[in-house]
Amino acid sequence: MPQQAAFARSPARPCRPVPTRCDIGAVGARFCTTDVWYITGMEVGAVIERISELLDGGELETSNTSMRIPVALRDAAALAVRELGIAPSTTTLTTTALRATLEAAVMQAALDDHYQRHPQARPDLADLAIAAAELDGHPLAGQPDRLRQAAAEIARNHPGASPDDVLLWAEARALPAA
Amino acid sequence: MTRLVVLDNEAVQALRNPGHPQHRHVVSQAQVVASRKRRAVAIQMVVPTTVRVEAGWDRTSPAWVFPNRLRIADSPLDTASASTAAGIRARTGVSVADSHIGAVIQSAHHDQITVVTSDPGDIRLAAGDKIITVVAI
Repeated sequence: MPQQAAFARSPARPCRPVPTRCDIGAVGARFCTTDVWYITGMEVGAVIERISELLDGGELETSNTSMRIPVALRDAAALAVRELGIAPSTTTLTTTALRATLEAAVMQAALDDHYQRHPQARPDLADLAIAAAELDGHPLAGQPDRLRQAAAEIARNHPGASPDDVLLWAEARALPAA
Repeated sequence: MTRLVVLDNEAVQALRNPGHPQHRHVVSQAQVVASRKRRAVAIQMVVPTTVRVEAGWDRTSPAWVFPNRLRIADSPLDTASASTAAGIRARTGVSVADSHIGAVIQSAHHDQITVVTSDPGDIRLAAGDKIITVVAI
């Protein structure tokens, strides 16, 4: 493959050249026989930024894809759009879900990268339960000590507990005994 | 149910600076938003552009790389929101940035609006009659 810029398939939106595994000289180039559309070996920050740029890009330019999805899933989506009106079209449904998934993935990758650089910034279960309560305006948001205690209790038996599990447990503990 | 999370100047500063005493607190908020997005909850974080100006958040500056990566959308001060913000400022005397936050709140159609702020009093003033959740940092 010629040493071309990755993402060069989108002439309307020129992209920065990014290093690929094919950039390892003549030996590497000998084994690289396909066009590099997805990239491995990119620095995580560059990946996050490139995905963000693409997500922020206009939605006017579209493309047919050869993506294969299970027939049953396709039919379920079509039925849900037609009969439940969950989206204007299956295309909208698919792209909205894909966008949301990518946004979540980008955010998490950015956070994970940040935690790696600044381990003290990584929130624990109690921090997350307090944050969830605050964002929701939960009545227990004003009682962080109670949430910390609930997080400690629940984490002892359920290491994979979520912030919402902590809130539920704290709420249950706050109920007066029947 | 759709949710909107609005950041004020102090929240933005805390997010950017790992040495800020509220850094972990605001990162926790961002982590909860990311986790909820992963569960397909309709939730979005925004920063009014005047808050960005006040905070010095230049999206082209490497100093802001971490907040830039968190999918926090700009809420611009367009013609309509400038008029709303001007009215809020005249009525309440809150800062320009807080007035813009108020305009964002008042024009939002989300089911739940949360503002992360170091100045809950001014934000409640700016929000007017709109019911919001305020997270004090």
